[in-house]
Amino acid sequence: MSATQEQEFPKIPLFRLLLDDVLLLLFLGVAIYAVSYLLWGVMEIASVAPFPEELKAQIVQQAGGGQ
Amino acid sequence: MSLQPPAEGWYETPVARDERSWVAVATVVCLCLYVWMIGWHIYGRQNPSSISYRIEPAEYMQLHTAWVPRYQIGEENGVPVVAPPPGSDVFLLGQMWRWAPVLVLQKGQEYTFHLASVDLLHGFSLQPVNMNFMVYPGYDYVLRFRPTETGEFTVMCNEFCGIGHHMMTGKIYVVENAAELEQLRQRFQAPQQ
Repeated sequence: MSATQEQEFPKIPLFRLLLDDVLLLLFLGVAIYAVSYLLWGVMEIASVAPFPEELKAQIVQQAGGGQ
Repeated sequence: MSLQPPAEGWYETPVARDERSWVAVATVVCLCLYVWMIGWHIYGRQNPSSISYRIEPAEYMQLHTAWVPRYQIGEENGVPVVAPPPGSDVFLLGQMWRWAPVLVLQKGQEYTFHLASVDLLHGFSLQPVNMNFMVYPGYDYVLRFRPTETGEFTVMCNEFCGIGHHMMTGKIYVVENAAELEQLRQRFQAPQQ
């Protein structure tokens, strides 16, 4: 970019572009949390372990009169 | 007007000293709360165990039904009264519209509570100590539970679960020692009026 071009179209920092756009800020403020909380929830649900078979067997066995 | 971009040149304007101070104060408060949260998680006395298991409602019902008669000491208003031995597992069931069974626990002893629903979402609310946990069908929520005071405690449902929601109450008795447990056993074994 030549000096003349830079004078005509000054390079605007990315962060300033973001802060200048209120609707983009609004969108990101909702979207970032919505997506991350959804992902967190899905990860939590996917990581729940099945009920331990040993405990299940133990409870049923005790009910049957065994120890 | 807040929906308009700020005045030209705002990005290069230095931030005022009082605004910097407020940002610094807010950051320090946030960090303190963050440290407090971690500390409370480690040293707090009412933290849930964060253990949960997947289990089909029918399977949980089967476990509950198998476990209740083993330690049952009587009945109260048609609901079985169970006195599980200290250190054992307790299978509490939430179902439209009852909590079962009624529990008799000993003060200072630890129990492993399993909480699950067999139909829809219920809320386990222990009163008057005000401990609240959501109870989902398909999931077993495990709580390590050590009663610290004796008395009669009520379990209520605090998630609306239909027309009988307000009647969905349960009970937990906490006794001091084996002698008090025996008194309760005799009371529940006697025919109720």
